[in-house]
Amino acid sequence: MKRAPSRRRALLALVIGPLLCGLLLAGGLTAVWLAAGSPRPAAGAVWMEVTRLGGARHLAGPQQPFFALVLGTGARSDDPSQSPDDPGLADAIHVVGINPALNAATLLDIPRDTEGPTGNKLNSYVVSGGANGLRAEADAVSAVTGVPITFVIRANFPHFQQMVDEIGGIDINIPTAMDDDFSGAHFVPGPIHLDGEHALQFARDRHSFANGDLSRSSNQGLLVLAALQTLQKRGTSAGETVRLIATLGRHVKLDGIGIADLFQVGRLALSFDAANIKNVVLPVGSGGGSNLVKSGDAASLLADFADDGVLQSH
Amino acid sequence: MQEAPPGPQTGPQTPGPQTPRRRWLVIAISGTVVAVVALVLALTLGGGSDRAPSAHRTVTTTAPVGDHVSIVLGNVSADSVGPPVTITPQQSQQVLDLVDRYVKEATVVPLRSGQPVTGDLSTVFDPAALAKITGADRAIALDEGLPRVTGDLDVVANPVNIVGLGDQGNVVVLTASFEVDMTGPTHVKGPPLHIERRVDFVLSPDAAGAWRVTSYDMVVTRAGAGLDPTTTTASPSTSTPSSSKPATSAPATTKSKK
Repeated sequence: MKRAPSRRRALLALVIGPLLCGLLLAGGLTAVWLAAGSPRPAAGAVWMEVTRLGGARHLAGPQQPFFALVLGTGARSDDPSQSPDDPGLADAIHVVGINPALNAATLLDIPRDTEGPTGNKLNSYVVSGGANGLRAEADAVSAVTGVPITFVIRANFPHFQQMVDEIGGIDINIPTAMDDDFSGAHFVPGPIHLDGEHALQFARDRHSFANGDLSRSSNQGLLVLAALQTLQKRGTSAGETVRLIATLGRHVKLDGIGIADLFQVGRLALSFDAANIKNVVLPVGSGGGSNLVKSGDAASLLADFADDGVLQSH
Repeated sequence: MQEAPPGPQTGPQTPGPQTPRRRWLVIAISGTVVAVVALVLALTLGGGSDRAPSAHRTVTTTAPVGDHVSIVLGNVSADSVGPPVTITPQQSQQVLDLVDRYVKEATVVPLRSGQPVTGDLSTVFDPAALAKITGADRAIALDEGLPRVTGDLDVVANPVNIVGLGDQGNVVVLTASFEVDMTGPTHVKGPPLHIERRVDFVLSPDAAGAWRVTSYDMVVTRAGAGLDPTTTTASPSTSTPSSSKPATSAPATTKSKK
């Protein structure tokens, strides 16, 4: 009876001693572990973390507003002898004003029958200018619009069609019904994906509209904007822009710009929000014969356009 | 109740009258309290600290020069307006050297030193791009003003993809796209500093024929190291991420020892 407490003490010592040591050891090891290194989250663990995200972009090339002339001709070939029906008149005439600082641009669509500085239709200077046709056309358009043309891009029918096919087509929202056997355009209003052949039909159709070439010019500007948006959706990395510019370069004739500079302009254009690009038709009225002349509204619009390439009040 | 008699059986710690059970109980409770206190202290003082203990932090006072970052070549291709062009190995190497210099001088060195970038980036960027990099885009393009990395800096770099644009048989434009992921502990409590950088460079030859970055497009994500949630990087231009995908080959991992 008297030895029982002693045995209990020994038993307690055997149980509690190791327990205490274990607790102290665990606490110490935990302290060392936590102090020595950041605990890494286990897979699936949620950690509070603040993230800062930023982007930066710098584009080379022009920093000031500039103007480019985009022409579409009806020539069926680069060789005039192979295109007897159309020597290459510029049936699509667009002056693009680009303002890099504002990330904005304007597409000024000029009806082909607009009278040029010598009284001829504006679409004819590219042909009458011979070997310097692109520069002659640029000078004529510059005289009509009052803006200096930095460079010219020209595509004919087959190259336009091939180019659209090579970039994978264009997504566009057809604004009004089109039903024209001359161009082959038969479209209902709404979104559609156009391949090269159908894009050309859309761009050529003027018989579906009461105001003929004016609506056609507007639609051509719409097609350019749609192409830009389509390309932006597919990706606008530098490498992808190389592919695009190489494709463009294979199918157009350039004046006043080299491929490297065109690449920089392409990067710039692809960075624009389409909402910052206006598409307007030069206001025109009837002139002598079948010529069209600038209407009274044109002067203020062109002044607005010429100062920085962007229409602020139109 | 009977007292336990004194004697050799009880050993040197002979308990006082009626106290043995209570004493063991006190010892057990005290030990538990000590253990709990140690645990609480550890969690309070040591929890969430970075990987470098304070003793190590005091040792690391200078940023080593010569941190090696492994930048490797990915896909190389070219497209041309005229005759096909080929990007030479020398041209590819020049691009790799530029990317390596940028990653090292603009990110690794300042992360190590915690000081503003002092390296010469004029051999990477043309004057116009350099002005923007060191001006309006400085906070994004350079990893300065961030907590200094005190331990190993893990650098994972995807291979650099190069695309060339040819005209009249010459390469007139090169593009380089790459991604760099860096992680390193700092003295700031919390997760380590983690920086992801996705970059598109456009390069053109300068008057002397040396390739220089003339345009760039970069998206940078920084996290961890107690970055202030109210501080957001200001970008004067777009932050649209590039949709370009990294090369399919495996990324190069570099552990930059402090």
